[in-house]
Amino acid sequence: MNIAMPVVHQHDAPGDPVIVIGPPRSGVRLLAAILDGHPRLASGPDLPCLVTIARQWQDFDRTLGATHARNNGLQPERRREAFRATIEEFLRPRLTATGKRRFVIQSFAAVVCPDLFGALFPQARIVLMLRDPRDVTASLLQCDWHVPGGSARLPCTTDARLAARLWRDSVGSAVLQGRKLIAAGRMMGLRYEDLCRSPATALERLGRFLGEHPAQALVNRDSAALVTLALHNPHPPLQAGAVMIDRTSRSSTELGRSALAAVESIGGELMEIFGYRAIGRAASSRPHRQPMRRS
Amino acid sequence: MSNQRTSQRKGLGVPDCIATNDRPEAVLPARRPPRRGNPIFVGGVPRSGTTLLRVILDTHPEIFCGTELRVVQALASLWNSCRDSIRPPLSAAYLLPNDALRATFADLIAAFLQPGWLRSGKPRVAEKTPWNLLVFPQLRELFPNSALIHVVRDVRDVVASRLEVDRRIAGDDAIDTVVMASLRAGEWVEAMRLRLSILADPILTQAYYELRYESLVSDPKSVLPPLFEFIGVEFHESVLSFHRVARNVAGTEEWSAAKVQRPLFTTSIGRWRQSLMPAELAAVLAAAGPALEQLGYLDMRGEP
Repeated sequence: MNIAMPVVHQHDAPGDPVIVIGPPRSGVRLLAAILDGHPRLASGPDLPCLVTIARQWQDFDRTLGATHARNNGLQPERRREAFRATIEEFLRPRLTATGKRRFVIQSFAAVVCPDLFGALFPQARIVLMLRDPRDVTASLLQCDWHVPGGSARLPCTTDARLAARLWRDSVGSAVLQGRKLIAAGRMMGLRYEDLCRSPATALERLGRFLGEHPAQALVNRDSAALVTLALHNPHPPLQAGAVMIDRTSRSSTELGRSALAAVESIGGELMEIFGYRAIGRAASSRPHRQPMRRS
Repeated sequence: MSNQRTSQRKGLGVPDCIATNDRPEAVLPARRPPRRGNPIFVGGVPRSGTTLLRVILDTHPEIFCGTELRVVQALASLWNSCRDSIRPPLSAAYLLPNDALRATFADLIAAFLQPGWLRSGKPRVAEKTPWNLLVFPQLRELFPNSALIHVVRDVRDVVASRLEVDRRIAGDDAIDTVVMASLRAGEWVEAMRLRLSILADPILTQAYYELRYESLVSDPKSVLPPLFEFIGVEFHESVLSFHRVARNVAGTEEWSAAKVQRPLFTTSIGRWRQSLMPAELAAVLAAAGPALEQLGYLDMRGEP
């Protein structure tokens, strides 16, 4: 499955969003912040309710679609348009205020249903952010995230196995549910490591995929603050400035031997598919850190 | 049935004989008909006569009321949850004022109402799905000039009718009817609690109209004119010929489809006497007795 290299050369009609999805701590916000600095793209904080709206559309379509068409003259396309317009109304004020053309929706919850957004927005492009699950796990274990309304920490932030399963299930769902989008060249995977280590190349490729000029590998302060806003469980601050690589390969120092082995066992085949080789703690075959030049 | 004249004073369409003191009169504002063109929502516990009211409304030359859409409750609830999730700082980040989403979700609901309504060429639209009742407060916010019509029926008859449907769906022996009777009565009680909260809200009561099924089928010529006046359209006696109008009654998707193709009948009042087993009736009264009494049904029928 070639998820890494679909390339299109077209400009989408104004309003067709870019949707950035991925497991938590995979670089979704970093990419959203980078794209928010693009002259044609605007982003904002994660709005989980957009996924709820998309799911409601799917539920009506499945359970009532035939009844509505038969009894009420309500055709599927009209229902789709109504839900699409509802989501667009969330994004319109900020697009209008910034004078930009396309919105970049960032969403963790949409990682399990990229097909829904692909169907609601037939010209949308979807970017799946991928990051080494060992680094994702190491990062999650440092998050002070709690069950909403409670004092208990989220299990995926206290148990390496659960963190790894979250990564595996999220990425697995994205690939499975997004397979038609991938085949149609509307969904691509972007590795966090590639974005950090070779930002110009990664953003050039992303730009071609989106039909936009490449974004600069730079996060401005406003975008960094904007994309990390959340009602619950605030995200760690995003560093403004040039894209940095000092958060890659953190697992080699932050995860214990058994946790590392557990993550690799759980990540299994998906890790291999996306080029994350199981290495244990003995050695790292992943590219070593190198300093980044500021853009 | 002369004692079932609608109480104009209360403006609620509640027959005087079953008017109860659970309505705080002091907070009830004067009746204010909704503006033309705004939707009418009909709700009630299932098997309360909402389909009958639907076809009556749809027979009126100025009102379109199609078959159940079954989306309004979900969409109004969706608006509620979205509104709750768009609070500062997210609302500020998205430049969304508090009221911005109201119109968006009203438009979403309207998108479902429009195809049939526009095709009908009528100036008003109504939507009847029983559990619309549960989101009457939200609907009042989404459509500030909407009319919310609640059809209320004796819980014993409601449960008798619902058990009949349950048996048809699940099979005669597949359900414990005593347990089901208690569950169904519990749903009715919850609906009546919501009714009380609506009646305690001076804003909501402006849009709320309560119609008793028993009065509707017994004395429609007294009950219906005030209802249409509340809605803001002139009463036409032709609505009583609803059964003569060919319309889409949606087959089995509306359980009362066959019944509303006949003239009004009153034999469903007190049907529980023939339908409910003593244990089922006891379960209903255990769950709903106080509310039933509060609504005047026990007194009205002289039941113990």
